[in-house]
Amino acid sequence: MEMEDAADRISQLPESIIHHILSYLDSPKQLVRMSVLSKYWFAVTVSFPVSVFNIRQFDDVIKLSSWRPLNLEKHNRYKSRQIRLREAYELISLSAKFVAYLSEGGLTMEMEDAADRISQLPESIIHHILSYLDSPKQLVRMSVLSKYWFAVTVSFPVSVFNIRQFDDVIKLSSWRPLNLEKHNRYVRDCFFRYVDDTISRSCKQNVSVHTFKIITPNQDRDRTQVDILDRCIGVFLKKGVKVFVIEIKNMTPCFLNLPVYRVPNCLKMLELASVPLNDEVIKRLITNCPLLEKIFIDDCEGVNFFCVNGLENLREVKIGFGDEVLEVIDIDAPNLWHLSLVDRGSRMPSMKVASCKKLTKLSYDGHPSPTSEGLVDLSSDFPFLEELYLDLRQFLDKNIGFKELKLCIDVGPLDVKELMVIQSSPYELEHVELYIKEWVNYLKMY
Amino acid sequence: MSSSSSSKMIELRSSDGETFHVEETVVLQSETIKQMIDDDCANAAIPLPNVTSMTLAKVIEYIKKHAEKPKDDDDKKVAEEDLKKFDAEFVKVDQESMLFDLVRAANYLNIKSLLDLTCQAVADSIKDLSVEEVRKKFNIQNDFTPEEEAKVRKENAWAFD
Repeated sequence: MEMEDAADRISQLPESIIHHILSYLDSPKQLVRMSVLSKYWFAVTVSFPVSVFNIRQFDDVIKLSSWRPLNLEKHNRYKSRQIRLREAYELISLSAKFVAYLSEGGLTMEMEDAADRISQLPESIIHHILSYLDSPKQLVRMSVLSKYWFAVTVSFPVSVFNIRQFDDVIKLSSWRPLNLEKHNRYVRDCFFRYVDDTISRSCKQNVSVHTFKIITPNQDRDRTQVDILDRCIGVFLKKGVKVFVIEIKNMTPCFLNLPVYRVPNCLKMLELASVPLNDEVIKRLITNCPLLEKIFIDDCEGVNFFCVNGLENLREVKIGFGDEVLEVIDIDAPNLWHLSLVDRGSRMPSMKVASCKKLTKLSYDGHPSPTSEGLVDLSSDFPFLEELYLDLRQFLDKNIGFKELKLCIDVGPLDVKELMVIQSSPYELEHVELYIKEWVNYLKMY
Repeated sequence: MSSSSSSKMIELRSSDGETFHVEETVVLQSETIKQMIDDDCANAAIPLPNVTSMTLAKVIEYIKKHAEKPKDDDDKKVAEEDLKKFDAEFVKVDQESMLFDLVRAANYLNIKSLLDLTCQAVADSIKDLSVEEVRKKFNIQNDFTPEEEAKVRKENAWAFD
């Protein structure tokens, strides 16, 4: 065993593998160091079939005044002479290397390794990979790799613009000392220029964007920003986008001109957060999109009646409401199965969803005030319910003063399959009581 | 053909002629093969001309692991954790080319979870790299003229800090 450990296992690897390992050493410094390990390693670095010369690596490696006090110009000259020497040396050994490789049949393998495999993937897969890059910075960087990659990023059918990512990317004082306000202004300018450029380009190329998402800040009452936003919403809606998400932070109401756009009929997902709307706009949006599958609406001032009628494909609806004016949720959709309510107000809107025969799942995330009249009448409002998720964390906050939770569940035999109570520690109820009339199969406490 | 569905074996042949025997229930994760079975084209060995034996072996390792069913609910959480670990290890391939072979195979065989996993892995390996690093990593030939490249870069200078 000791013998085993003391053996030079790395030098026993096939030469091609050692070359492969060498190829991961991204610094010429390290490579040169490997060549002085032993005679064998000297030979192996000479036969290394990858010749990469990058002056920038030398900049990193050869630090000014690290061992010779020089002025900058002399220092640079020293560097380039080093690189030329190494270059000449490589050229001499190159021909010998080639002959060796041809005779060993190693050429094809090395060639394979040096091939650009990622650009050979089908465009749709490259788009799929791009969709996992969650930073606009990386996406922009991909666009300058080559002409092909530029085209591929232009045809990328997912347009996601999130101001928060820009905040992360463009760091304050990273290269320009500025005050905070100016910096934010600069970030927004970059953001909107990016949005504008991306959209103009994808318009020109006639890209069919399927996902459009924009999360933007307050518009500063800046007309050009509003114009850009208005324009891109119009463009994407016309182009048949399938997923459409708008979230506007702290927006002064009534800036957006949504109703002027005739919405295409292939939208599948609509998400609107903090977008000032009115009943007319939301109605028009929804009635023009017969293929909608998901609707998420959160904190949209100005909506009194949320009314959906006869969307065949609608499966999920999530509605967040606060203290404002939402009065009625009226949904008649044959295939709706999950309704999510996020309650931040004092009053539940009245529910008219009983005609949805497949509505079996209700999630309720409530922070109602203690004077809240309570939830909904599950039996009459949701006659087909099978799953109910209650998230009452805010509701049960100690400061509000609730001490007792009673759930009265009235079920027939065999109706309830599973009941879980998940009690998270910060909220210490003194008493949890569950009445389950009749019979329960399975009761779990966490 | 045996009628017991649980143990029915499907034969797959890789591009280099090697054959693999996999349970039908496992191989159904591939939409492409599922379609072939549904169309009754799977009585002889299914040829997969785009997948090498090395890649196919990896793919089978993946779908076998993902076909394991937990016995009960308690087992479920453990199994999920286990599967996560497996996935993370699975994409740690020695050679980049293997990862691309897997991407292509997952695409061809239409195994969505594997395609997602491998594409995520490629993306992860790109994250936080500079343009030059990405070019180098994937041997991407820069065919911009310096002026063209500068123009593209200037447009979004913030991305190149």
